[in-house]
Order: sequence, then structure tokens, then C-alpha cells
Amino acid sequence: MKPKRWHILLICLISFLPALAGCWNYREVEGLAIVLGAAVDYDRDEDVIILTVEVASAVGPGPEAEIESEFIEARGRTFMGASRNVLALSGLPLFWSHAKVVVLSEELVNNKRKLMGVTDFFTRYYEPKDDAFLLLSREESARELLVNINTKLQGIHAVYLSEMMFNEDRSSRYLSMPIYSFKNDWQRIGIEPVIPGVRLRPGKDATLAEIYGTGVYKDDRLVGWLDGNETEGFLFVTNRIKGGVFSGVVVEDGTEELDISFKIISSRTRLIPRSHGGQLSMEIYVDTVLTILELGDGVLDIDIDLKNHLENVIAPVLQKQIEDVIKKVQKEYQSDIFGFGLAVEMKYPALWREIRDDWDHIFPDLRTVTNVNLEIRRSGLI
Amino acid sequence: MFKIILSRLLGKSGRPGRHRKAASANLRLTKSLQQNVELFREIFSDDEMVVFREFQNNASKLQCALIFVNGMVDVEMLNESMIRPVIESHAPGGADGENLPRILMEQVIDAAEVSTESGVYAAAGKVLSGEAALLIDGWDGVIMADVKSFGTRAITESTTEVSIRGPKEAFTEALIINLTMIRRRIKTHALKFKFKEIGARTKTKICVCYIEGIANEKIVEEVNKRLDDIKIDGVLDSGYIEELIRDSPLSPLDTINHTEKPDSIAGNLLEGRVAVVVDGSPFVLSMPFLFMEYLQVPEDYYVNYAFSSFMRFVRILGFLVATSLPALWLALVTYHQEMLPTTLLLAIFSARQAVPFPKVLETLVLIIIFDVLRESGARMPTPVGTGISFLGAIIIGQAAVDARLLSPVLVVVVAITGITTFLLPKMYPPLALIRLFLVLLAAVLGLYGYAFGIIALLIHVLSMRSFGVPYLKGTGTLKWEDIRDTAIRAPWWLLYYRPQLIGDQNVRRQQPRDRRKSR
Repeated sequence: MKPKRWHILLICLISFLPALAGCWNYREVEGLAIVLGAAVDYDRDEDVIILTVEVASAVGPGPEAEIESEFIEARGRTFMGASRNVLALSGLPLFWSHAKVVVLSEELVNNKRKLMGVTDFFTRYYEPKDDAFLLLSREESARELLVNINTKLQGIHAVYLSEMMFNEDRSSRYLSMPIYSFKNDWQRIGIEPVIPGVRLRPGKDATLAEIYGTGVYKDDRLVGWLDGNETEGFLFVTNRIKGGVFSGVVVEDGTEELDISFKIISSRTRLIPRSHGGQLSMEIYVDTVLTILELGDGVLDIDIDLKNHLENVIAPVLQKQIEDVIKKVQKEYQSDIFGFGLAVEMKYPALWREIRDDWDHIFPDLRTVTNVNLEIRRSGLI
Repeated sequence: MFKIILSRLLGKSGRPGRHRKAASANLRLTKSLQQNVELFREIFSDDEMVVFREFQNNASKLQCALIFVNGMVDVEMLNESMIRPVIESHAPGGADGENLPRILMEQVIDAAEVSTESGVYAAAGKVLSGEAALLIDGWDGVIMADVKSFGTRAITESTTEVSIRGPKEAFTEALIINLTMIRRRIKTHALKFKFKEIGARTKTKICVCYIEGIANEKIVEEVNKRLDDIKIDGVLDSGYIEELIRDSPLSPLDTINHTEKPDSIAGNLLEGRVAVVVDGSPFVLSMPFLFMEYLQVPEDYYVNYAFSSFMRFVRILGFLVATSLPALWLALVTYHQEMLPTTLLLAIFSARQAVPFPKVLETLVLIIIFDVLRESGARMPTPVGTGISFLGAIIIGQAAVDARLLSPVLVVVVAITGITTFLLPKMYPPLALIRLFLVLLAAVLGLYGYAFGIIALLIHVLSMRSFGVPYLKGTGTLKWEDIRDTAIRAPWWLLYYRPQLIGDQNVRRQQPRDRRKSR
């Protein structure tokens, strides 16, 4: 077929069609209120969410403008509603894609509907990233925590907090909890979510934030806290140790104390449920490789005997740490934050279907066996 | 497809009408000197550069006339080799009408290159190209002697392709000098030079060169055919020929190479390519030309192979950056802010404060300003040109940012793009166009539009061929044979083969050394 003139016209017209679809918005950066972090509180009297957003604002003339934080507070029955009400105050539409942390207050966390709203907003709406970190304020309110940080380390409070979260694997004392992960753990049966707590540390020159403990969630409520040591044990059980430092005090020969610290090279944990005649138990195998960083008694040469000796001394310390946290969570909080339920489901799906609804009662009395296999590899650089 | 659209849009206007053949093209000379001179005077009426010099032989009183163009011949040589011998010679006996020209040519005239013509217009044409025509009374022919001499530019260094290591001389405007530069490099009888004359009025001499036995015969044939098809009144530069015989005539990308460097042409000939030298142009064409050649420079073959390979990688990177950076930048900052790192977004955010124009406009203006600066700097005399670049750099880089007309981040982006453009000087025209094309698409549709643009570009480039050779040959391949001299430059002792499809007749370039097994 020979092309006719109108064929050409048609092709031209069709080729313009994608332009009409206007798939994404054309937006100028300076026309946006870039949200870097948010604090969410709950007003029990009025049953509304109090949303405080930290947005970037440029201060100073033209190109040399400095970025500073501006805090805008708005209220609304729902999160989206509150977010909409911010517009009337900021003048610019909120741009959520760069929100890095969401600080929640205890009251909000204890209100199922509102918390669900917040997590839904971050997972359903296309703008925000669902890997923003959740933090639980241990101050009076979430707003207080976000606003009152004052440090030269990082001018933007949300970025400061998110840096802490990013570097979790160098600490091994706290964990980061992205929103999608929290939502997952919350809505699955067989695991309960945790949420890292954060508090202010006012000082003479600066007010720093400190990750302080891990909140344990159960039945849509915050039921208790794990401290740093317990969090470390918890991270070992859940195979989240990627690195960091393990330190302890070793009592040598029953008399002498030895301060000692190791760098964790690698660590792997396997949860293996066993079912013996209907009796369910959980075996926890921890394989950890350490290297010596500090050895409190000034020994230069480490021979094989000392290595074996240290391994034999340290392993029980770690084992006790792990057993303690499991015991505490089982007895005091009765919340399966370790995901034992999921391990059972994976290995015994049929059994799991039977006991699933009863898991809350089984978990506190679940027998656990911890095996720590510790290897000290190398002695640092010397 | 473009061809169809274009011809549709332009309407079937067709090509301009053929030149009317001069009715008297075959006009022949007569036996009367007087008449012949009159014929030439007619042809060269009102052209006072043409000199008619009449004289006679001392001994036989034979009347002769010499016709030449003043300034295009060496007068001294003309005197020594033609006028004086003819006047003073004692024409041997038996020099009648039939034998006279032959005897004159063989025994009297003292020029290296002599020929005879019998057509008036043919002779006139040669006179115009610098030969001297000798008319003899009683003979209906004319002796043409080559006494050409006119000022030409000396051989200088190339100004467009500067080499740090390697031959520095460049072609000049004189065809013969250019051909000698090629011949000097390849001293084989298989190197063929075939002359043609193109241009109804300019009668420009062009020369097709190739090495017999290496060059693909079909390509040589095709080149000749396309050259013969040219019907144009004038050829002033090889650029005319390039556009008249190239494949994909509407594409911004070149399908014929042009270079000022004889070493580059010699290299091309050895790979089996065909070169076309055009009189009056210091740029010699070589074909087929493939996309990868944009990323190669002659110097690649003269310096350390590892460094050349690295530079090729840098040029590939430069190509990507020069075409895409402004478009990607624009797409990210106007449509996909979520894909930028937060710190960068905040930097842009603060830099954009108080800039009055939308980013699309800002980007377009700056890109066009860059092209303006380049063009004005290139066209102006060197001292002024440098001044313009200075002024441009200061005004754009400093003042415009200070006056809050442009954001500094964008200036950086366009400056990087500009610098990388200069990595591929030959590619400048297509780069400038592709860049603008992608920026416009990105401005309308964001990354989506950019992807569209790249797809369109790929479809276009993949469909291209240069004299039957796929344009992207050697680009989308992982075969060791093909990579050796495309993405990397293997050391010379590994470059056993000439490029496929081009040097197919004689693929092996060198024998593998003894210690290396033949593959």
C-alpha cells in the first residue's frame, strides 16, 4: 500500500498522543515543600492526629542559600487529612518522597486505627518511600523529640536520625525498623513487630538523640521494652547481626576480671523447630566469628590455648544473653517478636495450621535450646 | 520512513531538470588556424584572463597559436618548453600536415605531459584547468601541454585533528599533492587511483582510491556508480560529494568519514575502505564509515594499546554523557525528584531559589548558549574567538549565576556535557542535535520521554547501513574478533585481521608470530 498524505498526518498525530497522557507531573523543585521527616502524635481528647513535618527551607540569598529545617504542625482525623491541612500552612504541596524517618508517640502506637492509617499512607501512597524508618519517641510527644534535637553533626533532624538507622549494623545494639517491615510483622501471624525507641540527651552545648531500647508490640499495643543488651540478644536470635562489637567482662579463674571486646566478623543464626510427640521445641543455633580488638591483660601472643580458652569463656556469656532475652520476652511480654511462629510454619505447615490460633498461648511456654558456636578468628592486626 | 515523509511533505517536486546539453558540445576544429582561433575567441569572449599568443616558426614560417590562462601556467616554463622550441626548431623534412603534430610532440615540445585534442570544448576545458593549447595552421587538432602552475597552500599541520604522537602533515587543497601524500605511504601497484570529473560547470577532478585485492569490489563498484550518478553544476568541497553519495541521507549521523590526515586515509585503505579525494578540498572522504569509527582516532594506533583502550572507553562514556546528561538531569529534577539522593535534591533546592525561569527553559537556553559560544568562537578570527569564549565563560559561569538568572548546578551539568562533547570533535553536529532532541523529549515526558528518544534513536541507527555494511557493526557484539579493534584496541601483534565485510577479499593483515598458534 502506498502511503497517502493522510497516513503521514495520522502518524504525526498518533506520535503526539503520549504527550497528552502526561504520565507524571512536571514540578519545579523550588515549588515543593520537601518533607524530610515527620512526627506523629495523637490527641486523645479530640481523637485527632497531630502531624509535625520537617520540611527543607532555604535561608539566605539566592545560590548561597543554606538549607534549614522548618517545622509545620497540623491536625486531622486521618494522616492524609492532617497532611492536607499542612498545605494551608506551608503554601507549597508536601513532597513525601524524601521523608526518611517517622517518629511516633506512645499514645499513637497504642491506637490501632491511627497507627494503621500512618503505615497505610506510607505503603499505599506512591510518593513516600515505605522504607522510611519508624521510631518510637520516649519523650512526652513525638513532636518534642523531632523538634528539640540540636546538634552540629547534622542540621536536618530527620537526616540525623536516619543516619543512626543506616548504621545499625555497626552497632549491634539497636535495630532499624522500616515501615514496610513493621507493617509486615504486624499483620502476619507468627511474628510480632518491634520498634526502636529514641530519647533526647540534653547536654551543655547540644541536645542529641539517642536510640534507647526496643519497644515490643503485641495485640496492637506496646507491651514493654528491651534494653541495649537484650536488644543485642534479640538481634542474635533473629539473625540480624551483620557486624558491630561484642564486648563483655570475663571473670578469669573466679578472681580476676578481664575487659574484652571483639569485632563481629560474621554471624548466622538458624531457628530449627522440633516436634517430639506433639511437644514443640525451638533449637537456636548461633554461629559467630569474632576477632579480638581489646584484650584487657596485655598478652601479646595469643596461642591456641588462649584462643580455645577465650572461646570457651565467651560462648556461655553470649548464650546466657540470648537465653535471658528469650525468657524475658516469653514470660513478661508474651510476644513472639523472634518469629518462632514463622519458623514453625515453614517446617511444619500442617501442624502450624492446627496450632496457629492458639499460638499466643503456646509461645510463652515454648521450650528453647540455645547452641552458641563461637570462633575467634585472628587477633586483630597483632 | 523519513524519506517517504519528506517526499510526501515536499510534494513530488522531483529533482531539478537535467542540464541542457550544449548543442555544440561536439564542435570540431577545422584546418584553418584563423578559424580555430576565432572559435576559441568566441568561447572565451569577455574573458580577458585567456591569452592568445600567435607566432611562427623561423624556418618554415609555420603559423601557430598558443592559448592559455594567465596565472594558471608557469610562463617561464611555457617559454622554455613551447614557444622558443617551436619558433627556433628546424622542422625536419617530411613534416607535412599528418606527421607534424607527432613530430612536434616527440621532438620539439619540451613538456612532460602532452596530449592532443580535436574537440573544441574539450580543449577549452583543459585550457581552463591550466594546460596550454597549441594550434597549428593546417591541422584540425590541438596539442595540449601540461604547464600548470598556480599558488597552493603549503603542507601544514592539521588544524582539525591535532595529533600529539604520529604524523602531523595534513592534506591541502591540491588534488595531486594529496594523492602523493597517500601514495608515499602505500607503495604498492595495487593502490589504484581513478579520476573522475564532476560538476557540469566546475569540472572538479575527483579521485577514487582503493587497494585492489583488499577493498571489497562491490563497494568500489557502488562508490563509482554513485559518483557517476551525480549531476550537479558545481563541487566546491568534498562535503558536496559526501551528501550526494551517502546512505541514510537524512540522518544526522555521518555514514562517510572525512579526514584531513593522510595517515588516517592510508590506514583506512589498508583496512579495505575506499577513499575519495576531491580537488580543492583538504578533507578526504573514506567509506564505508561505521559508528565505532567516531570513537577512534588515528593516534589510537600509535600509542600504547592499554592507554588507547582506556581512551576508547572514555570516549564511549563521553558519548553517553554528551547525549544524555542534560536530558537525564532535566527528567530527574522536573519529574522524578524521588529518584535523586536527598542531599543532591536539597542542593538543587537551595540553588534554584530565586531563579525566575522554569527549569526546562533554563536548560534549553543554556544548551543553546553553549552552541552559540562554540560556533562564534570557531568562526571568529582566533584572537577574537578566544575573547568570546572567555567572555561567555565569565558571563554564564559567574555573572548569570550571581544575577540569579541560572542555577549553578545546571551550569555545571551543561559544562560537563560541553567538555565531553569535545572528546568526539568529529561527532559534534550529530551530538548537538541528538542532545537537543532528548532534552525536548525529557522536558515533555520525563524519563519516559528520554526512553522514547533512545528507542527511536536505536531503531534509526540499527536500520542504517554504510555501503552495505551495518552501521553498528562491532558495537553490539561480544565476539573477540570484533572487539579487538572496536571497544578496545588490542596490541598490534594481535590485530591479525582486517574488519569483516570491508576487507573481506584479503582478511589476514599479518601472520601470527611463530610462538602464537594460528587461530
